[in-house]
Amino acid sequence: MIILSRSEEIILLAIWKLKDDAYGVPIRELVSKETGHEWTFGAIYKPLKQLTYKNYVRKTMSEPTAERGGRSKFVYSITSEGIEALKEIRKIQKTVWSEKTGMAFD
Amino acid sequence: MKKKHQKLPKFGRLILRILLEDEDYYQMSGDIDEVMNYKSSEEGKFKALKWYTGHLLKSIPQILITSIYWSYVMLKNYFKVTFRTIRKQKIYSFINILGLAVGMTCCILILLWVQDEIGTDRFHEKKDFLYMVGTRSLYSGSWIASAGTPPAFGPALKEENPEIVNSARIQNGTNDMVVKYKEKIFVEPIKAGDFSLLEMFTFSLVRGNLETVKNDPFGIFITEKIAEKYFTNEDPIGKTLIVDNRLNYTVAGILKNMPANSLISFDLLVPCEALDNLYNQKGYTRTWYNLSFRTFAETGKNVSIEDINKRIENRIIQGNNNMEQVKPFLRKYSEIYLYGLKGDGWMIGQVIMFGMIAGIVLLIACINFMNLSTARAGTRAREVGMRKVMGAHRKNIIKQFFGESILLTVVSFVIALVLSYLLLPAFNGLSNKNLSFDISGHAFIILGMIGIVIFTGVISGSYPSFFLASFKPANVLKSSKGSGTKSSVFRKVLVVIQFGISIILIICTIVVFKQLNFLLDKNLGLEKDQIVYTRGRGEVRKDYNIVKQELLKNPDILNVTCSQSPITGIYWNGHNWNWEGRDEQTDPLVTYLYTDTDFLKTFSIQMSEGEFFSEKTITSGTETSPKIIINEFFSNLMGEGSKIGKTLSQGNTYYTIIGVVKDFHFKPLHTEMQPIILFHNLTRPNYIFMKIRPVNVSATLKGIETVFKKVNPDYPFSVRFLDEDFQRLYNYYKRRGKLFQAFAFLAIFISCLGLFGLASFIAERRTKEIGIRKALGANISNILILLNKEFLTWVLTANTLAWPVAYYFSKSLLQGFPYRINLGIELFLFSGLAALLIAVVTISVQSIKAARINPADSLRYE
Repeated sequence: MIILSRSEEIILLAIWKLKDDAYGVPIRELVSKETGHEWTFGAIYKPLKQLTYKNYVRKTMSEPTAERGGRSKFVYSITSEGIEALKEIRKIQKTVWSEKTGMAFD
Repeated sequence: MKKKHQKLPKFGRLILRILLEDEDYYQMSGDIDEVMNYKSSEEGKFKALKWYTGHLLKSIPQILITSIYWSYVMLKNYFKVTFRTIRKQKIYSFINILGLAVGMTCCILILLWVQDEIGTDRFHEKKDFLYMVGTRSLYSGSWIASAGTPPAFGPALKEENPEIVNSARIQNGTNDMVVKYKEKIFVEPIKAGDFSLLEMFTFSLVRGNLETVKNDPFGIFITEKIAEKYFTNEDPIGKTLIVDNRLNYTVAGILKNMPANSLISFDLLVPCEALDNLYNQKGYTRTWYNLSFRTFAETGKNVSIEDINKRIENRIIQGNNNMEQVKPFLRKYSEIYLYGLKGDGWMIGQVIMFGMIAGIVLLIACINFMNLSTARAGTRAREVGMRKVMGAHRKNIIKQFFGESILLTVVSFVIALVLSYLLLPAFNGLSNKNLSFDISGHAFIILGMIGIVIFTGVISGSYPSFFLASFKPANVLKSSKGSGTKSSVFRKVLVVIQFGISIILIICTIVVFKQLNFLLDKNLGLEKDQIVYTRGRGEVRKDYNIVKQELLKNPDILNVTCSQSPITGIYWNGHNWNWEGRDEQTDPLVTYLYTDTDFLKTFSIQMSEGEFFSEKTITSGTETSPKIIINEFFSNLMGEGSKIGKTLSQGNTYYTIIGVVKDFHFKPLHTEMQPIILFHNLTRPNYIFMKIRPVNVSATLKGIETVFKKVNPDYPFSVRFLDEDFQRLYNYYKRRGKLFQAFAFLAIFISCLGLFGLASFIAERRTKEIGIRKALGANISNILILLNKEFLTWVLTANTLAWPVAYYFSKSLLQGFPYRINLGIELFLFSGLAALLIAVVTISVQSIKAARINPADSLRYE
């Protein structure tokens, strides 16, 4: 069974949504917008490291860009294991949150 | 645009650089800069900076947690690898850990010893205000310090000097007296001293009360040891001990046992006034006419010791103007043990020396560790290469191998602690101490030990770590070699240093050993074999001549004589002797010996001039000028010419010299020869010496016992052999010598371990080469010679370097002895050869193993 922490899950989804250009700054922006409070970079990097270690994302160097004054950046992309993990998480979530609990959340 | 923002963010950059790994720093600084740029163009520079600082602070906790977590993960990995490495190379790891553990054990034990020595006499609460009185006596131009003061000096000191709030005296030496309680009767060394000693110095009073006995001349304080001996299950307080079968003393208190090397140490303490009773001499404690007491003083705060010293300088002369050259001064009590009365003490030198030995042994162990680790580094080369390829940076490699060596160090340290604990009893026996491992208040030891671990770990790990980290993956993965020529030089240097130190230690050990034997065997100028002695007590003192005649009736007893002090050390002495033509500067300390006509015969001493005391020369009663005998040393001091008939005077008493005896040693051999006067005086036959035939010794001893028991039926009788006493005199040096030898042996052992490990490793690496040579026709001895040659050149270099250093150390070791051995060249040659032999054996053992391998196997070896 694959267990991801809440932050890992959110960030993984963010990386998937961002498709090509997922690195520190846009990930943080997207996640901050979605959750409604501002994430620090420290809080972003921790789950990123763990996701990389578990092989759910791949970390690569990109081409040097102008906006960073000619240096390259680290770009994250989701792997197939990552996608599998997301699917599994969704399934578990659906079961755990099923209406059978009788609580009205929506 | 980024350049504009460089000012404040620089500080933040620094923090990030410290906290993060290279890669993470790169990422984060890039991201933050991007956001900063955006914000400053959108919302202005000020707002951007505000955000920046806030953000940084908020990020730090997360960053720290992440770092720690990942370091922990890496650490687990390193641990796994380390243990795997240890298991794969069991022998080398074992040798390494063992060598280090032994080195650390030595260090720990020596530190305990050093701490004990430094604490000697320093545990008293009032130690900043406690002083002992030393006396300066002029002696042929320079002055010597001793601790003897007149009994009357103590009270006078206190009364006449307002700065001194308390004073106490204690007698030099002890009175061996018979002590009896109920049916328990033994001979104990009783010391007489003022009870104010217990007020001034911190000797814990376990039971009892000082106040109640303050002025009671019949109170006695005993230590726990004595309480145990006589009052096993009773409360000793208030009970009576019968001393010398006639005097009753009431036990006033029990003190904790005293450390053996303290300047003040006793088992039973009676007040000074008791001496009047013990020796039937009223006014003994108020006299100025001898130097038989030690005086201590306690001063108030902020006193000037110089002023006091100036004031008391001539006090003793005032009391007795025969003591012309005896000038008292106050010396801080807590400094006397280590630095001596005069300030040129040698105890501190010993402490420093042992401290250095601890350092040296540890150093050798560390050198070994480094050596072996570096040698083995080659085998780890591939692992390092792989790690680097997988993305490890130089920093990581260094961290890994540092961690590995620190882990090994910690393991060794734990083993060392266990070993120290186990060896402590034996060490205590060797060093005559009572060391224990209680941590409370031993901050010094704990700091020392932590220092040892850190020192060893860092030093031993540094070279291998840096050495390994600098491997280039490409080179390393291609070939299985790893150690280039650069490392060999370093390793050679290490081996040379190690062996150099071992050789120095071998030489010093032999010197110590020889010196000790020299002292024991030296011709003392008197015969000490076949002489037994016993104490003259009770009735024997009065009836000495009768006892002597009885003893001589026994055909196995050849000679009987007496003296007032033990012949192993006579400390009955005085100053102020005058003779014709005496140089004003010369006022030597002259020793006195009271004996009878048979002294010469009993000890087989030779006369150099004149005649000894005999029935003819001793005419009782009509002595205006009593006859004395002096020794050759004194005779030479007095000048040229025959001394027969010449006069020696002290004050108003004149003595005639009737003979000069050849020098004999009456003090331990670490003091120089001194002048002595022999008096014919039977008032104090404290020691009765008997020369016996070497046959039927036990029967003879029984006979002696019968005679003494007849005269002194109530006194326990014991007889001792004089040569045993002489042996025991040097126990102190023997023990120190043994201690030194033990540690030297350990240091050599560690060196050998190191050499062994290194040799076996190198032999193993050259296995292929050996295989080829064997295949080409070499036999085992050829290979042995080959492998040995390289090592032996190193050992020879070590020898050449070690000899001068060893010479210097030996000379300083021997400095304290006026009688010492010669440092001949054969000593150095012998040690050098010994070291060579050890090296050859160690290396050969390993080489033989390598040489015996079947060439076919070794050529396949990879």
